[in-house]
Amino acid sequence: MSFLLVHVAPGDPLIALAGEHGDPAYYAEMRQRFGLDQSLPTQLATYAGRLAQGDLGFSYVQGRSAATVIMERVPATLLLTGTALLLAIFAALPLAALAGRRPHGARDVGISALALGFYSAPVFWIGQMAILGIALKLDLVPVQGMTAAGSDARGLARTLDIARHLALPALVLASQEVAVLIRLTRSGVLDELARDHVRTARAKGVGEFAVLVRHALPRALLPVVTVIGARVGHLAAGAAVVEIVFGWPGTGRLMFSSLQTRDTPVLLGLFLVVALFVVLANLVTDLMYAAIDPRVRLR
Amino acid sequence: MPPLIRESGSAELAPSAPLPRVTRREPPKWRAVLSLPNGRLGFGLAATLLALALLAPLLAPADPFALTAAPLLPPSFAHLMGTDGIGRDLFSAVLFGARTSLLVAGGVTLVAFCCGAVIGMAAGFRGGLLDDALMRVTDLFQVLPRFFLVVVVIALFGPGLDRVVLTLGLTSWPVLARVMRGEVLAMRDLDFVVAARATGASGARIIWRQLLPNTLASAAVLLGLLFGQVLLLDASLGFLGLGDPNVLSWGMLAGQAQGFLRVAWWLALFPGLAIALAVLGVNLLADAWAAVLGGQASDRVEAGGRRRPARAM
Repeated sequence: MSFLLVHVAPGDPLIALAGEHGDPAYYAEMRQRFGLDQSLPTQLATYAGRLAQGDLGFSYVQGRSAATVIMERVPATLLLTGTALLLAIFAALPLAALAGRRPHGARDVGISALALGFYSAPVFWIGQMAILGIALKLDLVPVQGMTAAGSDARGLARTLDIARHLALPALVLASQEVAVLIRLTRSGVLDELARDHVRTARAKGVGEFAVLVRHALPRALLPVVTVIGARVGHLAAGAAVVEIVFGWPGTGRLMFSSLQTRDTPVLLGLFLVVALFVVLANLVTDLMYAAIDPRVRLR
Repeated sequence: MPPLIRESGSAELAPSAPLPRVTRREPPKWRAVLSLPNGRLGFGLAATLLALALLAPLLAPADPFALTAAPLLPPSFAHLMGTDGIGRDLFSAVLFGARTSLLVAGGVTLVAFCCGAVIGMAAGFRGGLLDDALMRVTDLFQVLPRFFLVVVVIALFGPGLDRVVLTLGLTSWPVLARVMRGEVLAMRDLDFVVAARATGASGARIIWRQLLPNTLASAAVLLGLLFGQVLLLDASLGFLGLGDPNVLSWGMLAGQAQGFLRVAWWLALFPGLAIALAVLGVNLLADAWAAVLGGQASDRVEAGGRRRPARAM
């Protein structure tokens, strides 16, 4: 994980994008967003004027380029969201397959109810309850931060320290994605199990487990791939809230402190970076979809 | 020969009426929704929430802003959910918070429905260049990170419920527009529309009288899910302290609880629980409604009008 951190941080192409080509993009975003909102045209004009002078490229508070300030925080958020997404995928697939195998059976009802519960609960509440139940009562994992206070551990010790701090926030963030992925994959598995190729496989004498894992699940996963791309914006929003609950030093906490200090350039920059990530993720998943599904041809 | 009316046995026309009215399907669907266990539970939760919000001034034991007791009292009969850091009654605050949450979620759903219906139906009905252009705009809006957008708007213009509702409403319609477009495309060349056109009805009239009523059922599923999403989004905003500081909301209460997490568990438990139950209620209702619509309609809704599944947005 720290290896990843080191390699993502310096010289990321996003810095160049947000710093040098940021202004026209900001313009487009602004026009599109506020052009619909006629009640605030004067503010918009002033704001666009300031933008034209390049005023927004710098953090008011820190006196540095907003892009630099943001990019310092991106690795921590990527670590959190990446871990959560992986956890969610590895937890959701077996659960969804189990649930879809015998619809309306006891397992299905239990798993579906669990998914709906996580889908409905606000992520900060799950976080707070996790802190109350797991971290404070059982004293299993640390509650706040990314490293132990005052720790100057290096190498493996530092990795372990980060992992211990990462566990709970990643699980909490994953709970939201698990819920969505279970709901989607389950209905996909249900559809696939009713299809001809599954009936053929069963008729050939393929075991139930192999039918599920080899024949139904892979095809059910096709829509899941795209949905992961579509979830990136949501994941980032969830991460922002989770970071504040757990004091994780990523972009969410930066957003929170920038809100309190009214550091608008940083907030705008954050919006742009998230929007960029969402667009990229959608692009990547669309391409992946086309690559794994021969029925989809890119025009 | 009277024009054929889709999914309706009563094809008779009053001689004076130039256009057939689309009548509702025979057994009312809400009864079918209530026959499902999740539909009943969802309806119960949603109805309770609505009742609590409406009756908040009557039910609340105290003014939610009044200092009624010692600070940080744990839940008791006098204070069902305990008191907060300066001695205000949390139960009363949660009751009044329900009003804010419903108001915001209802407003956003309404705005999103208006935008989505107009754009989706115009695109589906007219087709051609307009369709292409509107769908590109829809693509653009679909990838906007709504949460961060609201954060920016509030940072620029200060906190307030009106801008939260407008911003979320004006950006939450793409999935709805896709579904409406898909429905209209599927219906555009059916006999009852062709018949209406033959009687000289204008496009707007056909959309309003023929197409809109027939898309409402599948739109309702999405609107229910959207309502739940907005409850959660609004709660997150309140949690970050981005709501109106003078209006109680569940998210704001949960945000205040963060500082007392080690000493007063009840402050975190109850507002969050209220949000979870409310969202659960509308999600259950939406699921039951989708199950009742069944088959094709719910498939289209789930696919968001194309291959990308919509539920996850």
